[in-house]
Amino acid sequence: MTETRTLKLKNKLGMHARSAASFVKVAQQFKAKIYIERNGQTVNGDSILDILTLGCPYGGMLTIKAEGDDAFLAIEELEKLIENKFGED
Amino acid sequence: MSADQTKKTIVLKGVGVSPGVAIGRVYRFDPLDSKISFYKLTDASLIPKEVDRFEKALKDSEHQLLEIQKNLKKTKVTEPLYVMDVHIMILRDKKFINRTIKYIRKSEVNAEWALRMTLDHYKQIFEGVEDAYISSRVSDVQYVVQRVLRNLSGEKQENVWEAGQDGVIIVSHDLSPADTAQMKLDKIFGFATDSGGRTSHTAIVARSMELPAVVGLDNVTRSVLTGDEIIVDGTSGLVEINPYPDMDQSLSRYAQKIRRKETSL
Repeated sequence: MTETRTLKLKNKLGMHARSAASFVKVAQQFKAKIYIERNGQTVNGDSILDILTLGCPYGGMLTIKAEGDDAFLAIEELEKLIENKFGED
Repeated sequence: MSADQTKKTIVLKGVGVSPGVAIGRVYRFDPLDSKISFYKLTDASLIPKEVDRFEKALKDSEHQLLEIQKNLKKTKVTEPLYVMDVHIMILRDKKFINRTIKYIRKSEVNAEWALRMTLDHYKQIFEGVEDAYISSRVSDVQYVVQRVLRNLSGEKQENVWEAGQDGVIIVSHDLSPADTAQMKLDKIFGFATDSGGRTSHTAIVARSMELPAVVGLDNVTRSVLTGDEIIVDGTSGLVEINPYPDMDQSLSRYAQKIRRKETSL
């Protein structure tokens, strides 16, 4: 099962250390493989360094993809996290 | 005091990031104090041993950070906690680990050298990131690499609290949250660092601990030795090393006055 969603980063600091750490924490709770794509570059959703090096700023678009049995659940949770601005401003 | 009179008085100006005046003795904290040797492996059969060393150093580093984090949770400081989460995640990052192991295997170098190659790789990538805030996060990779290097060297960690003296002023190039978290804070009176600004880790930690701090002094570390007398004025951003005895006394009174004022508030 593969789920894909394209979302906009709404937290002011963009995908920085704290938000990337939250993303990894959630991504690691699922069996599904998580990927993030931005500007044609795809990285692993469980690697904090990979995510940081995407350099996704405030207002930037990114596509998250989940592959595996719990892909739907994973993508739902990750979308919630991003939509809630990682609990930030 | 008489011995200090023969030493030259040096005054440096930096950025005061946490107010107040502190007088104490210098403790030179250097996260990279351990002598790191970089060398090529003489024989490919040594590769598995280097990989093991690297993996053990990763584990040791993780244990230390978890321990520091646990102790930190008991204090009032909350700011560095997430930073330490990030550092632990970097330690566990498969890409980070596999890249370093690949360097050991392909270049046949020791773990220290491979780790430096990994750091250089990330430095290059982070430099290319347009967002300045995200780009500056390469410092987190640097802190992690420093800790792993220290563990690789097998050297004992810096233990400020074992110095056994009261009134320590920490002088360092820069400090990570993990560095400051390991320090026995009741013995530390203040901080003075070469680099950093108002939002650097040293500044954040110092403010949350209500300890005077001056950062951005450029080369304070090269101007002092452990044991030197030092005055840190976090309000004006001035640091005085081996102060004149008069200055020392008047400032000491000044510091006391401030402390009294604060306690009476």
